[in-house]
Amino acid sequence: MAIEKFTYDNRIAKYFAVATVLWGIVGFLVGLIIALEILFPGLNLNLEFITFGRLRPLHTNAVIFAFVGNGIFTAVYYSVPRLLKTPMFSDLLSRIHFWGWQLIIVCAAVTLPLGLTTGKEYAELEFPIDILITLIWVVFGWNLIGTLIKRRTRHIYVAIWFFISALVTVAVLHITNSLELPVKFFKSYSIYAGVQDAFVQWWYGHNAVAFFLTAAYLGLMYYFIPKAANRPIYSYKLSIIHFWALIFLYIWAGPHHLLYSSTPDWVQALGVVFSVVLIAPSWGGMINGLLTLRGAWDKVREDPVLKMFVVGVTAYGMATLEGPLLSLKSVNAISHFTDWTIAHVHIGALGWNGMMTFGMLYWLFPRFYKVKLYSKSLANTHFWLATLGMLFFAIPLYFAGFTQALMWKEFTAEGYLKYPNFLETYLQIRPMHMFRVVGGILYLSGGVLMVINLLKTAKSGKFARFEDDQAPALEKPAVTEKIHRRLEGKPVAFAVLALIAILIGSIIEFVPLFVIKSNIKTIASVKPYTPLELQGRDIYIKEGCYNCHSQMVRPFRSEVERYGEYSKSGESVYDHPFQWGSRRTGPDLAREGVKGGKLYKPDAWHYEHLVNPQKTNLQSIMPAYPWLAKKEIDIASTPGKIKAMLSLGVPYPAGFESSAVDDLNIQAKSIAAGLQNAGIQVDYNRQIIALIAYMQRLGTDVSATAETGIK
Amino acid sequence: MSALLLKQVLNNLKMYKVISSLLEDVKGMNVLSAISVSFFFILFIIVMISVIRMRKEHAEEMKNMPLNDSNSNDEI
Repeated sequence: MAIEKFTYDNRIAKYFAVATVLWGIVGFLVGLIIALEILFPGLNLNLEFITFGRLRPLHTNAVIFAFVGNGIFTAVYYSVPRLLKTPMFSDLLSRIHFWGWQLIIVCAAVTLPLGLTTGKEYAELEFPIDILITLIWVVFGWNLIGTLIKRRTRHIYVAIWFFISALVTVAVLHITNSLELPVKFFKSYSIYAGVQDAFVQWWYGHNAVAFFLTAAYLGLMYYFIPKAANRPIYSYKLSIIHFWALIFLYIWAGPHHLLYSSTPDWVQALGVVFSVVLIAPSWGGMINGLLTLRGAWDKVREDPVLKMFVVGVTAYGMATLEGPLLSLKSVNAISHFTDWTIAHVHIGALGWNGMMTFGMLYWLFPRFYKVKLYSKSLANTHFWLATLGMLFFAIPLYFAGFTQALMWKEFTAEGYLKYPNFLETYLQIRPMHMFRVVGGILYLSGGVLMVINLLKTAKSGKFARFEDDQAPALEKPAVTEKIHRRLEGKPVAFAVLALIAILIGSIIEFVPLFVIKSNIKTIASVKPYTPLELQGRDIYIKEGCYNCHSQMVRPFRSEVERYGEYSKSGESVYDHPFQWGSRRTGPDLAREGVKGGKLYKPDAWHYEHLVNPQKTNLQSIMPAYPWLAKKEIDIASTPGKIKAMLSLGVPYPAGFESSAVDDLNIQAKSIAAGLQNAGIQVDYNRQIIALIAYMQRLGTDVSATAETGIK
Repeated sequence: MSALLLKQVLNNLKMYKVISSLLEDVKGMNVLSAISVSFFFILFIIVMISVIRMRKEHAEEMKNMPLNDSNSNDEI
């Protein structure tokens, strides 16, 4: 068969690699800033754009979609052409993909600090950016599938299967979770509400971890570990079993983020069952990665690239053992809403994603520039800084998680909560948060060393944009090929099968939850928010309050004693989006407005607390929100918002949108008058009034049910 | 609209009525988890058979693919 010559273009892979480095530093830096903001709440200097609530989504988005996202694309654009023996399908599509993705990141970096957010964790970007993400993902898919079609190798290597599964699944996840009803430019409401929204969100959130941070990075692992070790993967057969088991099982496990919440028990149980089974395929991947290095451990001692890969794969193994453990209800009862979860995700992010990315970059740059790495010892120093940084970050947070959970649950011999003041439980873990900052500084310092090392490497060489290669043209498949071997030669059929695998679990969980009405019990006393409360809720979302405060009282004695009646599924049926949160840096707010309740505070207290939290409690770690008392409510948007809610099925009276502004003004003036009686002068049309109205509404519907009963 | 249509179609399916009655509370969970895990085992068995039947030479050829690419594999 004739040998064909062709050329790889390294330019786009290099662009993505540089973007990975740049956004990685930004993501780590913002993470460090928000860790400091928890310790020193005044650190935002009263600037709304850099409060914890607005920066935390920026940190998570920067790390997941900018750092890891660009890392994935670096791996794809470098490995796919070489594995398929063909240049990428289209240079134009590659460039659109690169610049489009960077535009998305810049849009996120601008809009999130401005408070333009959907309020759904890891999916905070508003609908115009969601549309852009969809378009760019199509471009990426088109380019990848096009390259697969014009390949010169008959069979597709396992790394590319993982890339295909990530491509297909992320598309399904992103589109389904981002279905929103626009109200105005950069403001929308999720079409789902309450329990259903929570389910869709965590189906998305969990599988963003599964397919973006894991499957795509397994693709990276399957290509770069053999390259760096210069030996094939340990077992190709294991990779087949682990691939199919992983993508089939992962998609079911999302509800483990909602254990003990008001989602139906059967959904929670499914999440637990599949999370536990997930240990097997996850460890299949880890074992395959680590055993690839058997016989090459002498190289690991010397080579910083392999060291990073070893720690990365080990962290993957630890995180994927810990994840299923955290999914057990008895463990989750302790870990949920505490720092344990934060420690867990950072073992994954700093260990698995971080180390794998650093290893890849240290391997790639010398090959891009055809020169030795500028400094091996600098890379080794980075390795130790990153490893120690990860440990200094995670270990204190494990202690913090256990400590806080135990303090939340401890009762005195007389049967009272031992630590009824939530703040007391935070102050106990403050030293652990200081250690976390040390971990963050170490990790970031390692990143800075990497920048220097890679820059010096680039400067000492010359970028080799093109690389020649040759291969025979694609031969016809043998008729006698067995099932999986045949499948490896059919990328589109492969993608469709992967899609079916992930859809089975999704459909079995989605359909009953959305269609069987009795899964979400209706509560007669639960009414839609008033226009002012709705505006207040939007301010709550805008300020990112959900990043620190949950709205989900779990059915434990310790929580009912601390907060009040446990949360019911019917309570949040008008919540577009749900606001249950995932972490309690501050107390739960689900029962905040219940008069005579455990946490009830008058309007004047809320005003003082929002404007200057340290005035109401000297040791409070909440940042001040003085601008809320100065900025006006966007009253003009009220009719549009009510109209949108009506379209989503919220039962406001017909035509209510036309009287909504009057309703808002009456309620706002009443709150302002009450504040005036308490000696606080504030105009009725200020944002703080709307937020107070929302806070005072929380939990009151169910407090009414005590008298009216649940239907 | 589409949700309503889906609901109507599903309500007319006998099998769905059985499943939906089971899923109203956690008691039906046993059936659902059994069905779900069965799906997985069917897939798992198919994959296992295909892996067992795979020729050793093919597995060797596949696992060496990353090492067969261009000059980027050279020691730097």
